[in-house]
Amino acid sequence: MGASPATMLVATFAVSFLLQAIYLLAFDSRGRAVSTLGQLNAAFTVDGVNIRWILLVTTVTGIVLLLATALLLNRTSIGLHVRAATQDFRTARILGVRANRVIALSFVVAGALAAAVSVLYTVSNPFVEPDTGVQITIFALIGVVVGGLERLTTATLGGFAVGFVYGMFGDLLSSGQSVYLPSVVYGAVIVVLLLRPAGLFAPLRAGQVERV
Amino acid sequence: MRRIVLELGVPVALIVLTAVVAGGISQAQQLEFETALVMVAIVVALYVFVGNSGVISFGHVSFVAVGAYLAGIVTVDPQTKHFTMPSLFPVLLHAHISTVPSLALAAAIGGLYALLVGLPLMRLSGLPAGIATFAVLGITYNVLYYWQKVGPTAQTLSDIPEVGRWTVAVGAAIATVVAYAYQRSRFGRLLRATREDPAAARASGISIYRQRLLGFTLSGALAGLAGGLYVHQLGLITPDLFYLDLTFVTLAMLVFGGVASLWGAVLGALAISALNSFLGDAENTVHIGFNLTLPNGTRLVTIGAVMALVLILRPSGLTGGREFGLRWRR
Repeated sequence: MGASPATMLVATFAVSFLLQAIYLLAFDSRGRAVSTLGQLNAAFTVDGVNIRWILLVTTVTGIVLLLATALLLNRTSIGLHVRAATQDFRTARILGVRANRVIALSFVVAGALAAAVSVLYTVSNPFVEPDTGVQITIFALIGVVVGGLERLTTATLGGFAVGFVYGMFGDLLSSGQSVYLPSVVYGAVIVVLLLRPAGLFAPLRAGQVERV
Repeated sequence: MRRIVLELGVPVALIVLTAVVAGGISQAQQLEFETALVMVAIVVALYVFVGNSGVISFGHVSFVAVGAYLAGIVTVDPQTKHFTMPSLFPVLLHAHISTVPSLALAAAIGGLYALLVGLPLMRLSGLPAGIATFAVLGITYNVLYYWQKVGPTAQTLSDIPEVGRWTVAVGAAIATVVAYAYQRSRFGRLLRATREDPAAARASGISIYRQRLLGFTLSGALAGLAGGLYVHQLGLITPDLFYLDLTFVTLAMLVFGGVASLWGAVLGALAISALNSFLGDAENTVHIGFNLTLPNGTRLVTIGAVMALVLILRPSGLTGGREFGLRWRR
C-alpha cells in the first residue's frame, strides 16, 4: 500500500487481468451456462403480472446489504475509522487510525459485497464469460464516480442514475440510433463530471483544492 | 551534455537495437519485434501526459485509434474503398497518399482530437479525469464500430500498405526524442511542477489547465503517430484492437517501467513485450540450451502475475521514476 491512487487502480486491473488469465487456463475462452439456483428464475404472478423470484431476492438482498454497510460505516468504530481515512488520510493516521488495516478491511468488505452481487447477477443472467466481471466493474466504477465516491448514499444514487439514464435513452433512441446508446450515456457521464467533478449528488462545497 | 546523451541516447539506442535484432530472425519473430516498437511509441505518448502531469488517462487509445484509422484509410487504394466502404465521407473515399505523409496526418488528427477533448476535460483531476477520459474511449470505440462514414465499422480494415521495421523504429525514436525535448523544455517543467504540488504551482502563476492541455495535445499527437505506425505495421485492423485490452496493457507497461520517467516508459514497453513474445514462443516450444515447452495459457497468467507483483511490491516501477544514469542513486 502507500501507492498513488493511479497505480492502485492499474494494480487492481492487473489483478483482474491475472484472474481472467487463470479463468482462461482453467476453463476456456467460451462462456459457460450457469444452472446454480436456476429455480429462482421461475416466475410468480401478482395481479396478472409475472415477476421472477430472482428480482425479488435481488431487491431484498440489495436493501439488506445496503443497510448493513450503512450500519457498519455509521454505527461502528471501524466504520468511523474508514470514514476518517476517506476524509483526510494523513490526519487520520496522525490521530491513530491504522491506515493499512482500514484499507485492507474495506477491501475485504467490498470483495464480499461484490461476491454477493456476482451470485445474484449470474442467477439472473445465467451465462458467464472470462470478461463478465470487467464489464460490471466498469459500469459500477462509472456509477460511483458520477454519483460521488466519498459517501455511500451518493455512490448508490450514482449507480441508479447511470442505470436510469441507460434505460431512458434506450427507450428514447430510435432503432437506427440505438447502436449509439453507449456514446450517449458516456457523453452524459462527461457532462456530469464537468459540471460536478465531486459527483452529481455530492454537496456543492466538496471537491475543492485545499491546502493546510 | 553527458546527461542528455545518456538519458536520451540509451532509450533511443535500445529502440535501434530492437530494430537491428529484428533483422536477423525469423519472419514471425520479426513481427513481434515490430509490435514491441509500436508499443514503445504508444507508451511514450501516454507517458508525455500521464508521466508529466500525474493525471491518469484511460482515453489515449482513442487517439491511437483515430490515427490508425485515418492513416489506414487514406493509404488504401480508392478503387478498393469504393468496393469495401462505399459510404465513407467523399474526402476519405477519394484520398490516396503514401505511407509517410499518412503518418504525419495521423499525428495531426491525434493532436487535434486530443485538443478538442482536452478543452473541456483538462479541468478535471484524479479519478473523475480518469473516468471522463475512459468515457471518451467508450465513445470513440462505439462510433468506430458503427459509423459507416468514417470507416469499415465492425469489418476488418485491410489492404493497407505495410512498412518495414526501420520506419516503425524511426517513428518510435521520433516519439522518444519529442517526449524528451518536451520534458526538458519550459512547458514540460511547468507541467511537472503542477504534478508535484498543484497549490504551489498555481501560487507561482502556472495555469494548471493550460499546461495540462498542452501536454495532452502533444501526447495525443504522438499517440496518433503511434496509431499510424501500428496500422502500417499490422496491415489490417478492427475496432476491437483499440479498446480495453490495449488501454490496460499500455498503462500497465508504463506503470511497470516507472510512470515518472521516459526511460521507464521505453523500458516497460520493451520488457513486457519481450516477456510476452518469449512466453508465447515457449508455448510452442522454444530452444534455450534445452527445449522448453510451456502449457497453453501460461503466457497470460505469467504476464498478469508479473505485472501485479511489480505494481504491488514496487509501485514506482522498475526505474523508480528516474531517467537512465550510470551512477546508482538512492
